[in-house]
Amino acid sequence: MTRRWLLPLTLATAMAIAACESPDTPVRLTPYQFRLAGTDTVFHWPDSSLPVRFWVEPAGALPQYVDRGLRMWERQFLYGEFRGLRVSDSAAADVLVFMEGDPPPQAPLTGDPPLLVCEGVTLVPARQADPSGGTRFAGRLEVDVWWYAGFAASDVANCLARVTAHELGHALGIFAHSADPNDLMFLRPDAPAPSLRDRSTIQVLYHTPADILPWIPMPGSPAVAATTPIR
Amino acid sequence: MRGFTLTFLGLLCGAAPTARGQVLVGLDVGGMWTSDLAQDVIVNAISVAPALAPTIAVAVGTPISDVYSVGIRVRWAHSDVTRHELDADFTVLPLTVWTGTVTLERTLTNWGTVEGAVGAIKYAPGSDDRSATLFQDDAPLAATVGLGARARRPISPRWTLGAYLAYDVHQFVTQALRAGGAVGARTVHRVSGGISVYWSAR
Repeated sequence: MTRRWLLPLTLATAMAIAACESPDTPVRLTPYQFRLAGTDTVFHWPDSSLPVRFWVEPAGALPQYVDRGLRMWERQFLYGEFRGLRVSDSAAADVLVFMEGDPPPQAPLTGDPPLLVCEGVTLVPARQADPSGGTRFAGRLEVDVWWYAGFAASDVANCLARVTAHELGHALGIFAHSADPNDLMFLRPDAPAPSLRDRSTIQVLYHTPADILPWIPMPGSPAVAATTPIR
Repeated sequence: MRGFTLTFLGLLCGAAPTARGQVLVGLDVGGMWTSDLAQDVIVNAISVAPALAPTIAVAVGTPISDVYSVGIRVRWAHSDVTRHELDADFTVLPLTVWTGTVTLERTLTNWGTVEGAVGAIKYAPGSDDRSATLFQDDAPLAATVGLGARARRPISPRWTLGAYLAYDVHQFVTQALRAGGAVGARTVHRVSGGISVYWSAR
């Protein structure tokens, strides 16, 4: 053995040691149901639709709640499966978000115990045949939220931020609810952000083949499509 | 094509060793292949890796003995990170990778050298919108070691042309992967190759 091989051998040994470690994949919990009840429909936004465009009614802090909710959901992904973007032109949007009633009082979000002083609903459009042979939504998804008077502004703000994030979970394709109150997608959401089970569910959803495509403008599309509400 | 091949082989076989005290400034241009940054199974098997990337490196070196030279090299590579799933590729985000190394080069023949390199790799995701990616919380900095081989031939008193083939390895993990429960880091292998031009300062 001559010294001329010392350098390559030393480096090869170092690289072999470095190559020994192998990682485990991220931890996931058993997902809850995400299919639309009664239809077994699986929907998620395809890569070709990203970023998904959200138009938000400029009512109080609703645009900020939507931005916050989108960022929270985006952070549940690791491999670029979803991106959302707020747009100013409702005609160019994939999802419409409305505040029913008066604009809500504005207040900073706090860590106070959650009160259900607001509600929301996501309207899932009916389906129609697509020229490609598949099935497609007949209209845009729509999210409506509203709030109740007589409560502290911070409680209303906390509730609207939480419920908006919950409804965005539906708009991303979780068309059902979790049975665990610790999950954001529990029917009456108390959790301020997606839980590990929410994270596992949305990840599984986005890697499950979808059997329905998002709406695109097509000749003959109804101006207003029938919808299935998910609260 | 035949003329190019003969010229290339001629270049490889005619290089002269560098003289002590000489300062060489080099430029590498080529391509880089990178192994998977992450593998996962979510319903389907998923792998995430940078696409084949163009790469450019700038190096400065000087001989320290009759056969050894030391140098520093900064390498740039840029491509899209893609997710491979169900025989399809999806773009995740653009990625630039910077590599800074200290190199020790040994002359083996009058036209060929081998080198070892140690240094650091800095990932620089190129998109502002990386919140849904494994780079959502950080852009890793990792130690790297590598080996390479070079062939070169002077084409004038100051200019040298050559080719290179290099391999390096590092450990890759991000905060997002750790936060998701991933344990350990993935060993990432990179192979790059291309042509080099050197300019001698004296």
